[in-house]
Amino acid sequence: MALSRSFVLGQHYPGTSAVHQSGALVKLVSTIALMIGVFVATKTVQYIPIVLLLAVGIGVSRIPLRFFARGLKPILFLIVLTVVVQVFFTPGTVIWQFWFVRITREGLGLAGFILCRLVLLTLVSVLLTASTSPIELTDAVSDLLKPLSHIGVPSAEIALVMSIAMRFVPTILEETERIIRAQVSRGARIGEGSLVVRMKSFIPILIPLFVSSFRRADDLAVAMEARGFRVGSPRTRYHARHFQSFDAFILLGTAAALSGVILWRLFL
Amino acid sequence: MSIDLKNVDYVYDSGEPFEYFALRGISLHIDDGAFVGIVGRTGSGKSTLVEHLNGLLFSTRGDVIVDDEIVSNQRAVLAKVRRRVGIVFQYPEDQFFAETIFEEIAFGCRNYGFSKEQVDESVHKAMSIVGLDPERFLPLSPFQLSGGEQRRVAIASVIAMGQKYIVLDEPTAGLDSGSKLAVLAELESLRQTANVTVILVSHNMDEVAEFCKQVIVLDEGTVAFQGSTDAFFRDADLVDRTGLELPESYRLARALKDCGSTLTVNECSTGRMLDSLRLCVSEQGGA
Amino acid sequence: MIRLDKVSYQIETSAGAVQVLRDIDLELPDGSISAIVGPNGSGKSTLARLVSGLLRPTSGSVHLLSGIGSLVVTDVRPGLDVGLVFQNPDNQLVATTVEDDIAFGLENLELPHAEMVQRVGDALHLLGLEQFRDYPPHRLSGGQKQKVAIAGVLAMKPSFLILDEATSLLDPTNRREVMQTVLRLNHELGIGIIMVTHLLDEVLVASRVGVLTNGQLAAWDSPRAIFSNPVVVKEGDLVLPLSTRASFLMQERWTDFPLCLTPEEFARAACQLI
Repeated sequence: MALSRSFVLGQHYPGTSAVHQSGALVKLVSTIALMIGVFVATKTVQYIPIVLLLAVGIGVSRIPLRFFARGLKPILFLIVLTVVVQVFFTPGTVIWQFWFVRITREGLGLAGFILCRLVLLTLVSVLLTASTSPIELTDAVSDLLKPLSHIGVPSAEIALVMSIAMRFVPTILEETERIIRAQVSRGARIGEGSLVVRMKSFIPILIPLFVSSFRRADDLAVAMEARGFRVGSPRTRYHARHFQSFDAFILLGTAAALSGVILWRLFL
Repeated sequence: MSIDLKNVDYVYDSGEPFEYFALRGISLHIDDGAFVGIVGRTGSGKSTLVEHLNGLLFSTRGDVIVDDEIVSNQRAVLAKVRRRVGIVFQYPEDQFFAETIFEEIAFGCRNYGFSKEQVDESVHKAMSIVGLDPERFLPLSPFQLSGGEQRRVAIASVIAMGQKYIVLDEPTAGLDSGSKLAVLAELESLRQTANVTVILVSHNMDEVAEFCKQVIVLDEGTVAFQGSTDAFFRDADLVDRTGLELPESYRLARALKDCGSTLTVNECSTGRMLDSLRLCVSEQGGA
Repeated sequence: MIRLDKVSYQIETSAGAVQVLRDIDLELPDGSISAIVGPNGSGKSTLARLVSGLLRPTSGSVHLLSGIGSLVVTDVRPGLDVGLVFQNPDNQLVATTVEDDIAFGLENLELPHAEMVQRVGDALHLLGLEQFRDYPPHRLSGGQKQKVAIAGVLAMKPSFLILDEATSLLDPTNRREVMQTVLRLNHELGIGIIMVTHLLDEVLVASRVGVLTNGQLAAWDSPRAIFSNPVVVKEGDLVLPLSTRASFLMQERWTDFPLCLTPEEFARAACQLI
């Protein structure tokens, strides 16, 4: 139960805000552009345009800040580690020293910069996944890849595969929990003992999981065929993409923020 | 010796906005050597209850006591409790992983540190209880069996561990009608010959009426009834309120009574009902 | 109407050819309810896939006979003519939300957007799933999932629906709900229903029951006729209803006692007797 629940809660935060309703492709492109912007910047102040746009986005989306905080949780360790490394091991003007531990002005500055970078990257991607349903996101990926279909990349199939994978992750997690319960009831000790013993203890979970996944794949293939699916046949799309005024705002805002960062870096 | 639950609550996501009482004030008693049914509609808490019996879940409040041992997540206690309570989950053949049936059944025994001779003996004994010839089947792969045979091997893989209490969640689901009866009859003989307590979780009321002397009825996480199966099915209102169906034999007896037929038969399990009808018919015919 | 003409199906295995079905003749009228029973391995699921057009018979033919006045004979198109719903609801749902799943088949039909929206809405309404529109499948109960699977098939507007043990993984409450829905669809839309099943209540609602044994059709008759023949009942892996067994018992004394299939029927007959 625990595994599948936490996964479900992690991703999409359904809503009806302008951010939710705007096009997934627009949001995906914007997210990529903002991430590029984050890497282009060389000083913390240069993040200001991105922070402003992100703040507007988060505000309009009406997704609670708690949700973003939860998105930061998994990388908390990484953030703390890099900040600590930067703070204590950057040479420069010493502003505080105790025994062999010293903190430099440059260290603090660099730590702040890296902290901002990691947090911004996370928040941007959380805003995307929280405000966009998985299916819209896969459609957007397929659109993004579409130009590549001219050179033989099956963009529609890639998108379908992604969406099927997303559909089945919770189901397979549930299945895993079920199998763990059964094997534990047969006295299995999972993840205990030496490395070799521990690896071996996963076999009674992995094999049933593979067996059932193959059966699922078989069934699913029949179900898809029974509903008229043929590989490579053209399909229409249920999710129509209408260009919304907020899409224009996102694109213009992103363009502005990105050029702001670039100009700031070049000229200020 | 017995299994007792005292005022057990189980709360999912305790303290969260979606907190949800799966079990609420459950108190029950399961006697040694009984054949007990646990019934209730989906979501009534049956699975959650079952997972408390061998320490897969721990009560939020209240005690689960297996043979005087209060179930807790201490390693020593858990080991003891799991040695006493075995669970056969729904579709247990989905847990198969070993290359041979022997290895599959031996898995649990080895986990509990049986000696080589003990493993051998337990595996053979379990196979004969479920009515499969050890010589023929043990070297085969569990994946190449028919559905009914797979189910029996899966049940054998639990009973081989020799636990005192065996809980089975829908052990006959998906089997053909012949295998269904055979599996239940094997469980009854296991109870009689090895004095194992059998706890049957089932949606099939005909099965429950036929095999379980006692029944525990769950409704919305509480115990709605606990006692003799016959007494429960005679209370048609309660059966209906708890979202369950009457077994066919009870339906038939009731229908006869309702239309005022002179053929009066006792409401009871299928076999006895037919006997009493036969008796009735011969009396009527003679008159 | 779907007509099966001397349909045989064999598969090639490493041990040689295995005859799964042999010379099956069947006629399934439009809007009818039929049941197919038989023990595991008797070829029921293969028959379901042949009727739904997913498999082609090795010999013989499966045709759809339609049209008023002049008869049009065509091959069965999967999804379009016959929808198939099978046992495990988890393995038939493709998309991450209920709505998208129902749309999946329509996307394959290359329908224009407006029509898809209309049909998805209709299917949601027909199965009473409106409030679950945005739900991911794994948040639904088994019965709800199976209804989504039915909705997805129904949106394609087939004239027949095959349920291959579609309720066997559900508990009695969910099972009853799904069955009621299916019967309502039959009644309101005139959609033909073919159930592969071993459950008594499902067999009893059918007008015709086919009993498959070892790939052959051992019987094709009304439920009452099937249940009056204990040999066929046993071969078909059905259990004789208690009321029927009681009727046999009564017939030992009163030879004209009717064959009853339900307790209520039995009680009525018993009351008239005395």
